[in-house]
Amino acid sequence: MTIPVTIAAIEQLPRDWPVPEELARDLRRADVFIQMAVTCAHLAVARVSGDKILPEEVGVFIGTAFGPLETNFESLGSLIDDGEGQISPTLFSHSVYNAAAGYVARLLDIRGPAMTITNYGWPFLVALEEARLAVAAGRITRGVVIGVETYSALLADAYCRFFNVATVPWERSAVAWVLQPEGTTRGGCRVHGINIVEKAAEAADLLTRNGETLSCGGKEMELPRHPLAYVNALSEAVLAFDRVSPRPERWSLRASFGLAELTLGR
Amino acid sequence: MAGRIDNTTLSIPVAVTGMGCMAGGGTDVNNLWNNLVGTLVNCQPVPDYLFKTILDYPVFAGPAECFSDRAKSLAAETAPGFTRESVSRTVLLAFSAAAEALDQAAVPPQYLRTVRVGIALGTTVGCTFHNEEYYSAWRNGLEPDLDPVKFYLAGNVASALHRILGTTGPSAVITNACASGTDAIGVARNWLTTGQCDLAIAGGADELSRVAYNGFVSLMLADNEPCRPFDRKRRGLNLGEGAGVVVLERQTGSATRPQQPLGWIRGYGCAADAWHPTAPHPEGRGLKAALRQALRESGDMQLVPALINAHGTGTKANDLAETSALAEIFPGKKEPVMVSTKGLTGHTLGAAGGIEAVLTLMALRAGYTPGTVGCLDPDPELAFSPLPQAENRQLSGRLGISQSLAFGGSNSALLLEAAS
Repeated sequence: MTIPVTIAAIEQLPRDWPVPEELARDLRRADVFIQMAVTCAHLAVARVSGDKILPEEVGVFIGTAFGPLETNFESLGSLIDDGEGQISPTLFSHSVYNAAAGYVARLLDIRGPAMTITNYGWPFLVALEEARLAVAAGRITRGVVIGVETYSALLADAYCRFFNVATVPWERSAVAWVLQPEGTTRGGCRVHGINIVEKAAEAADLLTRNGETLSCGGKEMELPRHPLAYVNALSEAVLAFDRVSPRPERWSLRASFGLAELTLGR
Repeated sequence: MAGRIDNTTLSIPVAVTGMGCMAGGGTDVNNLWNNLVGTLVNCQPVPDYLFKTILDYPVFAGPAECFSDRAKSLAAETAPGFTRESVSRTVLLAFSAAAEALDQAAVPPQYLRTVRVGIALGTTVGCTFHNEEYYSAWRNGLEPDLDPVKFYLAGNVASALHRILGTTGPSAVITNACASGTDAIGVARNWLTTGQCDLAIAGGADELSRVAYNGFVSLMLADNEPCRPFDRKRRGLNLGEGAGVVVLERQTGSATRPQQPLGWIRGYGCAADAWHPTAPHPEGRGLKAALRQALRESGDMQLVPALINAHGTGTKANDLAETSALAEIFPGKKEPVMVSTKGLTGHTLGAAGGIEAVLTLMALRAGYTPGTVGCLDPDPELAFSPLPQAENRQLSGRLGISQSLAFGGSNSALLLEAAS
């Protein structure tokens, strides 16, 4: 059984995103990484039309390059400042990379698969493919796929010193896509398949993403140099899918660390 | 998408053709298994070669030299310029386990360059930046040398293995906390059934870190004696480190090289508790869903496996949740036999799922299982009884489950079958 999978909704969290009032209490102790992942997923799911889906039939899939790096450092700081055995339990538990997926699952009542993938390359696409496979095989009827990056002050300082620049090319952001079986929601283009081939790359290339391009139909664009640029670009492509003729179906990402292909369609 | 199979059914058998391990409980698969059979427990204070601490919570540390001779030989062939100093201890553990698994699978290094190799590995510590010296200096306004940042960027364990082996193909580091290794094997299985790669290296790896050690102590989840999974007097977990890796291949008539399967992945399930950031759902809600999914994939929801290798950390909450779930899934049955192997390995976090999948398959292949190391007096309040340390058990079948629970409420289960 192979079920056609469509993108039912996309949410790109705006720069000045507020935590929704209905989530504020539950997120008051969460770090920014968790807050952004939960808020973005919440807004994406709210965009989906169609019937309510059982919690057991929904999964959450997070792809991130750097994870909750700032909270990692705060945990380390707590250990240094507070001494052995005194590290803040809240900081430590939130520094675990799947804490965000756990919060999303709990606050959106998601009881299907919950998975976090941490890659420097294209973690959102790895997560998207896992979600697509789960929907296509009928294991779930909704996959919430989240790309989220919050970076850290230490990483920003390292970047600036690495490349002798004054500012970094990134700002924290989050994107969420909702996948569902075709016919369970209005509109949305199909995701036919994703193929990723990674290869070895230098550390500097992983940080700068120098020369990363996105191409479709013979047109190629160089992407801004941060690890959510390709997600933003693909999100725009999906949102514009029906307004462009011919429809842009085959997308390729190229970078020093490999090649990824995403095929969309009707 | 050359070579891609448009197939999301899971009907293509995925064989385990090689296994590798390095852990505190043993330096390779046979050593680990023999130590389990012989109850040779290596639980000790944190050795100085890892980090210094004033705390007295023992751990299961891997050997000081965690880059095996087999791994050195393989690296010399695939990456002549490779130096052990260029990667983390987590990467060395993973690569040593992978080298053993590739050796057992009889995969020549040059073959790896001719096919698409997927590498999916679970970790927790292995993806973090935990260089205290750099962080302290930076926090104090200094501009420390950037080498630790480069080291961190080069340390993604799946990418690092691709780099050392010279392979290309899909790559994923699964960071599902303590379920990461189990999920990595599930993800790699999916890549193979959908044709995204021809061979996969999957499992988990994690080194012991001072932050994780102190974190578990501050959460009051660590025991200052060797852990006692499912025991009436259990007081928590001991951390461990290591790696457990399997080589997976599609088993089809058109396989491009001879295979001798050690076993098969017959099912995989993953589900969220949607309950609490660190504590499992008291009735094991997510675990039950993960187990049902794994059984469903086998095509037989009534299947009763011969063995459950439980997560069995030795914490009060884990052991209660896990046994509650098993009692509901397998009600009133003498089987499956349930054990935990963490009394031999400690809790190796992201590596646990990989190491325990290997030990599960070893037991299924041997046709018997040793009891749960550290469980001397099983807790009578548990809804599902463990096999205590004093007992061994012949297994009635060749199917078993390796299951994991994690922070964040992730739960995963693998259904494994041993080849005869």
